Amino acid sequence: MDQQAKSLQWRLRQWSRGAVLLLALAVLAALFILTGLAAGYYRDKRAELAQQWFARGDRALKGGRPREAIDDLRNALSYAPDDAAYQLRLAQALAAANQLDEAETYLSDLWARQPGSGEINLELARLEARKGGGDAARYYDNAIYGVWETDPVERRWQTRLELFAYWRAHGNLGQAQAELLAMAAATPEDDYRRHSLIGQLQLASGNPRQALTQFQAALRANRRWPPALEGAGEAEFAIGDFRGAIRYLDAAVRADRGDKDVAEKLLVARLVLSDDPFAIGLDEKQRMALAAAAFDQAQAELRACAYQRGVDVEAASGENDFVRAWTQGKQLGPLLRRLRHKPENIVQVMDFVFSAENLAAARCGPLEGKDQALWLIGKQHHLAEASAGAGR
Amino acid sequence: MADRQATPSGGGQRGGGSLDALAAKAAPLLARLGRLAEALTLRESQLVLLLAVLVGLLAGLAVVCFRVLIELTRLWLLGSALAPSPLRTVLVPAVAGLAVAVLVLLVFPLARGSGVNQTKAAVYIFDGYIPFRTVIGKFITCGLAIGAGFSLGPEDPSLQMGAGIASALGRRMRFSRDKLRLLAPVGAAAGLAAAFNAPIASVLFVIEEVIGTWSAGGLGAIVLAAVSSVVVMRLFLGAQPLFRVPPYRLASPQELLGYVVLGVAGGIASLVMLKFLAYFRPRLRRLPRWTLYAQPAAAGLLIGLVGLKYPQVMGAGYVYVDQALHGQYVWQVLGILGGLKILATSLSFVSGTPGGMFAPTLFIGAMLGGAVGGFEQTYFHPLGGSVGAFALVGMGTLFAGFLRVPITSVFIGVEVSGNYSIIIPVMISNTIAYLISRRYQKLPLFDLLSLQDGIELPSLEEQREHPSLRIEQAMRPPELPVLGAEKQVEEALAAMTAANATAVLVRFPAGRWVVADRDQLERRAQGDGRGRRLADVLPRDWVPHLHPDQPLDAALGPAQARPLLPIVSRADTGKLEGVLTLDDVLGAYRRQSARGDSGSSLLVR
Repeated sequence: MDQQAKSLQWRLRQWSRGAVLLLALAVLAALFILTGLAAGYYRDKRAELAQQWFARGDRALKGGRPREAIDDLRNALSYAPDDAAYQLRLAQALAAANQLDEAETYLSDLWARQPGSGEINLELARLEARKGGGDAARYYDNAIYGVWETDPVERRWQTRLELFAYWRAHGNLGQAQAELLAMAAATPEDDYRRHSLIGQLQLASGNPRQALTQFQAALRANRRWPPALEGAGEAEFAIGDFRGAIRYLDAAVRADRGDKDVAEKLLVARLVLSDDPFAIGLDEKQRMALAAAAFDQAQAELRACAYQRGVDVEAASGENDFVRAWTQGKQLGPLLRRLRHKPENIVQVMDFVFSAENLAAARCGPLEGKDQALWLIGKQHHLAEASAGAGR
Repeated sequence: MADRQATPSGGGQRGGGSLDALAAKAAPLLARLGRLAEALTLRESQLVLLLAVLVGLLAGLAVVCFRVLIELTRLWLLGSALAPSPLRTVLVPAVAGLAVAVLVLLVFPLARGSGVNQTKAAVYIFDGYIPFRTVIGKFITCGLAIGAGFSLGPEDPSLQMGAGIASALGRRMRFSRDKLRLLAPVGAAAGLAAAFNAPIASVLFVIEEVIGTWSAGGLGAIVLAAVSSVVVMRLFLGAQPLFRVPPYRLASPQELLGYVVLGVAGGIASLVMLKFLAYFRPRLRRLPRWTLYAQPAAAGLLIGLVGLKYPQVMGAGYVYVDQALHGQYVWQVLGILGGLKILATSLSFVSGTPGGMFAPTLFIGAMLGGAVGGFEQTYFHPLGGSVGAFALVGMGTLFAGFLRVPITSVFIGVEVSGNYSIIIPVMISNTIAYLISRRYQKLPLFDLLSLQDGIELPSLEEQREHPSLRIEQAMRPPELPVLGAEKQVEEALAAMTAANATAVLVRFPAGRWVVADRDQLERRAQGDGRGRRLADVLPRDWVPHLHPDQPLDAALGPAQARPLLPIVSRADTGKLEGVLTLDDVLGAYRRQSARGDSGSSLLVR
């Protein structure tokens, strides 16, 4: 009987345990659902807050308020700590606020996770460039050959453009030129704006021939594109092909009349062609008249420049560039008057003109108008003589 | 089962023949079902394992809800920005402190404290009993306090909630006291594992601190519960670790010197915190009862004032630990944050606000580590590794120095980082911090808190401090005769007479031993044993194998039952290393007691 009672008690306990287990499982199921709802709400809320703070931070950064952006982006990251886009934007904000070390920490962390990311490498390159670090070029290269999620061709092109600026700022013109050539090669034929931009960069880098090629490429795609016309004119001007320059600059002026610089350059180009006493096809009389006019112009410029530098050439004497040049001009006066009888003296007269204009350009800055034209004529003349001498 | 079926059958006789027939038909089926149920019935140990999984799942869900509650409370009370508005920063912790005090003092009195000691007390004093009301109280009050910016963490309360859930379930299942005592640590491990997202460190912590002994039964159940809860937590909150840890690599062995410095700094910081708690907690608790309502509010106000300039010290601070790990603060700021967090955490805790110490300990450790790393990097470059690595090691260092759980502290660094190469710096730094803390603060934190509350609980450190005696410290050289089992009874008696011994050890084949005493042998010699071998006359009462390295406690039982015990070699159980009597055992204990230490020179030999 005792045994039976014990067995019954044991069974009752087993059944009771079974019932508790079942009840616990039911509670577990219910709790799973409730927790799922709560966790879902919590996740959604975090995601929503992350987005809100990110949007605020983004606006602040774009609005030039990096410190405000930093706080907002930090808030965003507290809800989405692994979001690479948020981290990147925070790094940008930190860099904009001049907190370069902290920005670098974020970027290095991102880089460790995505070493091939174009965007992260570009930011690191910018940071290194600002800090004067030696790794900027390496990061720029990584960015150029890295992975870009959106518009990779465009982003790589823009990155090369930055790398070009970096090399040029650091005086490495060879590397800068290489980047421009690579950019040109990566530019579609019909993208006249970009060819034109490369042309301008080439021109600014002192490569007028490469620039002309790019402007001509731009004009092939759009023959009325004023910046390309103007750029091609300037390139021709820099090369010394004034006829070509007039052709392009004239077209540019007609396309865009408001630009005074272009008009000035056009004028100078025309003067170079019209005021050159050594130009082919002039008779003696015209040649003498042009030389005389050039002499007067050079003397006037010399006097004005000397005056600007505090020297009165007519009153002063002694060892002074201006005075020496002025004295030389004075001595050429009789020579000039006998020019009709001795046309070979034109060389001496024009030598004085060129040296006077050179002196004025060196001491008083860029010349304008007729003076610039005479200076350019002189430059061309010397180049021609030098190449003739080399030919002999 | 058949008995149970008899009753309805009897009823059927009164009701009619059709019911009888139905019952007769159902009886075999019911009997089969009964047998099936019996076959499916789990043994108690199996049921504990099943329950461990259930406890783990429930604890995991509770911890997920707890974390959601803390976060939503924070959003509601302090707003979504990391730096709340000044008005909220000052007012919210103060007002929340008052509310928490009212709840704790009037509704949930057992919710006070961190939860670790309370769980340990439940295991050792209350047979694993934790009222479910305490679980609810812990959930609400800690959620409110941490969400409102008190410098406390959710891990220790999660531990207690897990233990409370396990205890409630065990009681409903009508488990024995032993099993209930086992279930509380099972739930504790589950709760802590889910809160930390670190099952290994949590299991170790529960063994080190809650159970307090390495000979823990039910380790399987503890591991199962911890794993189950972590799975649930990851299911709902994602598998990402608590902190995003930067990659670590030991660049040069010189860096290890830097970690020595960190160990010293960690030891000192731990001492500062421990001394603060040891001094202020009992004094504040002795103040008039009405002040207990005001203490959390005052602490909240002070924390709010600190938070005006450094909002990082408010709340658990995981976000900032993450930032420190990624080197996003300069070392000066890290040092300031570490110092202020010590103040804020100590204020929070001594005021009686319920909440855990784990998260603040990790925070302080990370800041301190980062500060030391940054300082070394700036001024002693070859010593400094990355600031993030120092912050990571610093977390473990404070764990070792402040919480005094050296083994957990090593594993927490490894588990949180997922990088085993960090283990060498962690071990160096933790050991130094632990030794410094132990040297200048005799009682570990949780023992200190227990004693302040008037209870004395066992701890692993206590065991380490007072290691048990070993058999080798009590045994004597084997001078007594040892006889082979093939000897005759008369030979044995002669040998005993020659040695003036009252008992003799008899060696049987396969390294088994029997103890024979003189009376027994004399009786045999006078009866049918004359001229026979010992093997034939002695009962096979094998002496359990005892070895010199075993605790002396293991010899106590066998020594009471026998006049003499053989102590044998582990390599060859037939080889005698020494002998032991009950007097030897008691003598060793007496000498240890007289010396007041482990008595390393107690060896009788």
